[in-house]
Amino acid sequence: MLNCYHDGGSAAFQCNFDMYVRLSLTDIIFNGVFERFPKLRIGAIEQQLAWVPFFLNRMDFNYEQRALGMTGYRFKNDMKPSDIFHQNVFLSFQDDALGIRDRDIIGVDQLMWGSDYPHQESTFPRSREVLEEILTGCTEEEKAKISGGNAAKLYRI
Amino acid sequence: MSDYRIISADSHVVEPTDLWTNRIAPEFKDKAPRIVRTDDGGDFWHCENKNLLGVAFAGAQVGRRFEDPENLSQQDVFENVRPGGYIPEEHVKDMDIDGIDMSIIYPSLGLMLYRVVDSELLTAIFKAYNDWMADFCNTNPKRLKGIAMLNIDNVRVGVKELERCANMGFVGAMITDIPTESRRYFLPEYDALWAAAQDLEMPLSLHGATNRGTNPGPMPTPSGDHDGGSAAFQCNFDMYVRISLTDMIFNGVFERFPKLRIGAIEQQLAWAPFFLDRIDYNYEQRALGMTGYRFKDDMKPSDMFHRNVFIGFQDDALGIQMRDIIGVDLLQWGSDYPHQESTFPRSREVLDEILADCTDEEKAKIASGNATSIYRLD
Repeated sequence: MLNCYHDGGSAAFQCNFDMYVRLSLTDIIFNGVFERFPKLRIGAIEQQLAWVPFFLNRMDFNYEQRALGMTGYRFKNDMKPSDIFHQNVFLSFQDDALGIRDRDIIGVDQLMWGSDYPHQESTFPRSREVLEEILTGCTEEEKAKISGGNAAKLYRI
Repeated sequence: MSDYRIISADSHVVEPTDLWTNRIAPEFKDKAPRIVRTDDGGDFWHCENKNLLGVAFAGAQVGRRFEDPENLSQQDVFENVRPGGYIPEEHVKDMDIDGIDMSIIYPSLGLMLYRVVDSELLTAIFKAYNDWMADFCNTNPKRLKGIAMLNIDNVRVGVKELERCANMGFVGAMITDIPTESRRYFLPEYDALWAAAQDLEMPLSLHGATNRGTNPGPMPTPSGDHDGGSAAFQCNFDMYVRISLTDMIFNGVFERFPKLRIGAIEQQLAWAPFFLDRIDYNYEQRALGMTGYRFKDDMKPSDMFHRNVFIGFQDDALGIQMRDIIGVDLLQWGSDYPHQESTFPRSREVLDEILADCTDEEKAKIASGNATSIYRLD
């Protein structure tokens, strides 16, 4: 763990903790977990969204153009790491307008909003206001998916 | 065909096999880095009984990702390393083939040597490298510009080497992109280094893969002893520079040294928008660690990033799309010649494609203008 007892250490953790879920997802994807278990769903919760476009880009670049660790193994059905990500991973966020701007790259069907109630960084009591602002550029269908539809489908509720 | 000037702000030498055995101070000769050939015919650099780097990545397979990507491998021999990696005249010839006017040059094995535990040995290794590199660049000082290697375990020793290298014609220096946990960049003792770099106008680079020893927490090392570990490092190593930049920014380094320039080199670009969003969000909307301290002149963390940081990349169209958020003036392209993932020999083609939507002014800045101003080049 990054140390949290020092000013800088704490900021370093809070500003960068998407790194942990990125490492875990890379391990899971590159080692074929989702190829063996294609209906498994893994959620990246509360790391926000806007880290995803770069992450997808880096996974595909390393898979397609570098020999690193892949030793020639190719996923079935011409799947790329990003395809597997879109198929098996879902994401939650509370307040990330930048990520919503990138939603076409990230995948609208994977996005679930959450208030983080009752934590310090929660959108409570202004959740609807925050959400409306973040989703301004979205279509009605996208808004319905992100604010409830995707979660309903994922958790069969 | 485009005609903007191209400076590769991130090229590499491949250290010749006898660099250290010839040049290191005699008392360290037995411990100098050397090449070890495996039984099945792969050359790997070793030091302190650790396998640090295979030559396959560092110059033996340049261009193969375009011609024959399925045959990229992790094993190769030094005889296949492109001579431009270690012979300066050949390096310049390859720049001509690739349409590159000037190169800012980093080491190859040297990146991995930040893992050497014995700090005095590391200082001697870097001194020998800097001596060799000064000679390499002096064969054609108008086109070959070196980045010096610094060991800053002892800040005073590091500052002395920085001064020596500035006098030898180096245009900048590199420091580890992530120190060990007890030595992170928020420590006040680094102020002597930041001050010297600012006064000497020597930008300091945090190049990917230069982790100093054991990494913070559970993060994987580049050696990657299993498939996933290696992919986890290669897909995510922007995390190290993000941690170091957060430590510097939030602890006021750029407030105390407003003209210091720190480069994030070879982590590509598209990590930056999210990072900027997070550092401002945490500064403005959370109490975390900031204990109420506010930067002067209403500066936000992102403002300091835009003023003091610069970013090197080779092939990141996504990042270029996001250039307005990142800051066009911060961006420096580099070919990464002669590494496995280099754009050589198609650098202009790759750049033209990446920069297709940019204005001519933006193209000129990214391809050479920004590097010219950051490194004070002609």
